[in-house]
Amino acid sequence: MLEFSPEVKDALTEIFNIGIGQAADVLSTLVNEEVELSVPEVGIDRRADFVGFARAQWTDRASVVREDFTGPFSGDALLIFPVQQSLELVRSLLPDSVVLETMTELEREAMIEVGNVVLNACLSSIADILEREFTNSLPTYIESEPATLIEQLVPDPERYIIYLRIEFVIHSRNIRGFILFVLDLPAIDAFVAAANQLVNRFQ
Amino acid sequence: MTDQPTMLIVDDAKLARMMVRSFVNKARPEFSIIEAGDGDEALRLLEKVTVLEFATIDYNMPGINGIELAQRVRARYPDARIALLTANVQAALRQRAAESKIDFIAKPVTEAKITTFIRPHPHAHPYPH
Repeated sequence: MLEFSPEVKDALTEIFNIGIGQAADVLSTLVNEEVELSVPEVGIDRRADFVGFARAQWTDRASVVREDFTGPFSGDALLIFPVQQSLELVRSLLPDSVVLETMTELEREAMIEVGNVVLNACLSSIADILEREFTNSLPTYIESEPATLIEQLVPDPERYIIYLRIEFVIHSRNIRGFILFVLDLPAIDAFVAAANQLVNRFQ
Repeated sequence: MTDQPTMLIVDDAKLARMMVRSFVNKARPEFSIIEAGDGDEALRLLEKVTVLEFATIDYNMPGINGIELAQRVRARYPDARIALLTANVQAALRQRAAESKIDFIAKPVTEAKITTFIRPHPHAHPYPH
């Protein structure tokens, strides 16, 4: 069973926290309202166990914007909203939008743009604090159950993944979403090494 | 306690506390530093402190949030210079800090932001943006 030491967990949480803070700022500007953030959670888990957790946590189909990134470590960054709430979010951004039951092409594009801006703000600030550079793919939009998506991203159930999870809430629109980073083992080692270098500079 | 100028650093992330402490030690080695991981611990440690000069306080922490803590610290030490030091950089939060007359420092912690905050000019502009 792999586990992070308290020091590593603390450093990873703080690095992630800074990224999320930037992302929330961008989202708050887009929706013109404060975005409430939970205390972030960082952990490491077998893929099979994490999927079990994800299945219990997110029972509805979700709108997911995904970007994969490469650099000192590689992985996937996911912005996740329940489908109905993502419609609500996107409508609040689109001028004169009519009430629709399903995602139109325009709404899908707006959602991708939201995800792109939010995930980029997060990744850029993590890169800055680690003084490294990441390259990220173009964002893609997926409607899926999050657990199923994670199974597709990491097919081997025995592989370990690191998850960085935070919940954010936009109260007036009753929107509740998550940002999730999924990294596999070599990427975890590289991320931990980069975090340790940062910690060692201040010890 | 002592006559040394005292600074409070409150953050649930040890890394953030270490970074602030290292920059303070470098710029103002005479400072006595108190570190706390949340608001309750900070208030408990402050019971022994009669004069507080500076405080950096994180916002999103377990227990009371950074603004509430800052207001309580401010009530006890009206002359202390207090900054919210947070990754939550939204305009609404900056506004709430300003309303409570609390400086705002955006994470990531850098040497320039900390040394500017603790420089010995009480009425100068608090920190670089």
